[in-house]
Amino acid sequence: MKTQFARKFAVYLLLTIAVSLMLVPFYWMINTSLKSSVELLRTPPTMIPAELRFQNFLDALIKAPFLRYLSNTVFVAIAVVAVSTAVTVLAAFAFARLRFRGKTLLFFAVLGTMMVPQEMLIITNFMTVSKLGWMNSWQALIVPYCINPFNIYLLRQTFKQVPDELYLVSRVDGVSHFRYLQKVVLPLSKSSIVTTMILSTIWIWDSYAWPNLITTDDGKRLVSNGLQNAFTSDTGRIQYELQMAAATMVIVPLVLFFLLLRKYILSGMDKGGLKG
Amino acid sequence: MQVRLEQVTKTFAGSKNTQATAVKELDVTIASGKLVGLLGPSGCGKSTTLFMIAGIHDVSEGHIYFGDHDVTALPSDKRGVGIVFQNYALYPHLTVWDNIAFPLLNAKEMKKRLKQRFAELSPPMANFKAYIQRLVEEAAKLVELTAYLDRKPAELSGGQQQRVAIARAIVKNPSILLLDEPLSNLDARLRVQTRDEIKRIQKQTGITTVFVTHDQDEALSICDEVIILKDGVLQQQGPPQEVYDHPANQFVAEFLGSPQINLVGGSIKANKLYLGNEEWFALPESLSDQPVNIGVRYENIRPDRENRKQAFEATVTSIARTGGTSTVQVRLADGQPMRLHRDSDDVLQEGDRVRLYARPRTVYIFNAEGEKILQC
Ligand SMILES: Nc1ncnc2c1ncn2[C@@H]1O[C@H](COP(=O)(O)OP(=O)(O)O)[C@@H](O)[C@H]1O
Ligand SMILES: [Mg+2]
Repeated sequence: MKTQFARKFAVYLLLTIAVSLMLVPFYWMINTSLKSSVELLRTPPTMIPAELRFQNFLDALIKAPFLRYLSNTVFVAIAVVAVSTAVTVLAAFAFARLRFRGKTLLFFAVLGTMMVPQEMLIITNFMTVSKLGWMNSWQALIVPYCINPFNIYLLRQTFKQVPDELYLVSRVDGVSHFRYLQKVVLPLSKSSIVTTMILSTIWIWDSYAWPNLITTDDGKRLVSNGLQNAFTSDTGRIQYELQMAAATMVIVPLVLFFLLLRKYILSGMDKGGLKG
Repeated sequence: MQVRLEQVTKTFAGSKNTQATAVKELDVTIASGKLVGLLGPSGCGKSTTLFMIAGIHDVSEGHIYFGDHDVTALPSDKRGVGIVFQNYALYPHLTVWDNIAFPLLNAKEMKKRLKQRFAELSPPMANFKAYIQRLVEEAAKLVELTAYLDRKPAELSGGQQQRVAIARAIVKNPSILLLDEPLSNLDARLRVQTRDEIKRIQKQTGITTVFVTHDQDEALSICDEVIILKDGVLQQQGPPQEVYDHPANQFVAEFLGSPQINLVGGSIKANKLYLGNEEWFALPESLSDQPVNIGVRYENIRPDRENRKQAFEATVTSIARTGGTSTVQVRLADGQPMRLHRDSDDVLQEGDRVRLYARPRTVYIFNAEGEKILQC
């Protein structure tokens, strides 16, 4: 009894510390976003703003290109999620169910790309994109994110959990692969698919290096890059309070999105009435 | 529809270029409209055989015919079979209605055929949806699940789930129904109930049905005919009573019947059968001298009250009374045990000396290889 309590206590203590550490940057971001430009420079910095300046959020919003960047990101994210989900579902189904030559080899090749750090691919991808003449184009922002090996792997594992017999019955009944995928596999794998969509969204939402590299045109910039240079004043000072207000606005939708869909992310596959 | 397997062999490629033969040169004919049991211990190739009939597995060698039609190379969806698995394999996210209607609405060929049948209906029906509704309801009625059409599989008992699976398999009016251990996931009471249901449904629809099971009791009680496999090789085929009374070999004799048949070591010497060391009876045919196994079922051993010449002596070692009958264990002169059934009101006691006999035609004599060499 006692030792169990002690163990639980230790675990909770550890988790509390970890959570606090994680929350510090968020706290600082929100703290900064609510300060006036004068208070910002005070040393030592104030832990709670003397006066909450919500005006910062409005100022950040109307600061010329910020809304534009945000809508660019939303547009790219929607396109990426749509295309990459389609690609991921079809690839995962092929790897989980279909029988074809070289399947194992191909699957390991896909997994292999997961081991290569993204940073290493940037140069080659950059050369590919520039040869294709895709600099400053939507394609360059969307296509590289459409194939996500981790998502393919995740969905393949989920699809594999659907019992073989469901597939066999469908085959014997003359149901096509596509119909089976659509009517049986997808509904049963809903939560995992939503998870992959969220992961894709997060991936594009906070990717920085690649969009920065291939967009020089302000009209195509994403918000992650825009945050960097939209808030430099005429005198060259970075307006941190506005930048942090903007950052908060960028992050909040993602956090809300995550909280709303938490049920899906955390719940495993719904196996319903299957036995045996 | 008659199903005929001709010299069917199935080998699976194992790891490191090994090959495992799951079914070997199987020759069987399944008569049209019959309920046929495919029976054998676990791993003997029953499912493999069923999957080859369904077209899920390719045939390595040999041919499969439906009627006169060679279907060996026909893909499974073109064979017109319905299949039911041990784990029900229902679509868990769909209602009973949707599960049963699934093969009607989601298979292109099937839908085309249904549309055609719908057009030729007389009297004609108002719309196609109503026609589907009728087919689903007919199937549900057959398995007595009409009241459950709106439920999800998880809200049904195991027996009900299996009946949904059967309804889904027969709603498309298959020429052959394949059942792979459909009762194995059910508890004992439901198993008996559902097996009688299967018998009734099969008789009512007249669909040629192959029923795979490892439970001999199940097969013997509902099947018109049983096919017994061991290690992928056909042992015997015939009506249940026939194979029970005339097992082709020691394996079949041991596999069928509960409790398991008595097997006692003995020998043939100078055309006389010896039970243990004691002479039992003279053989009607001449057979060479050899050690043998003698098989006699419990119910065929009786006390001898008429001083028959063919009786043998034994000592009662234990009596287990269960309701109306008791199982009596005896010891032969050379110490080998044997068991028999008696009425519970018999006045036998442990240690009693008894004289027993069995009619020669209920005695099976097997050689050292397990082949039956004589049944008088
Ligand atoms: N897909 C497969 N690959 C390799 N071996 C298999 C496969 N399916 C079955 N087997 C083997 O074939 C034999 C027969 O299996 P199965 O037909 O499932 O037996 P049963 O249904 O009678 O229990 C077993 O030894 C099994 O290991
Ligand atoms: Mg099996």
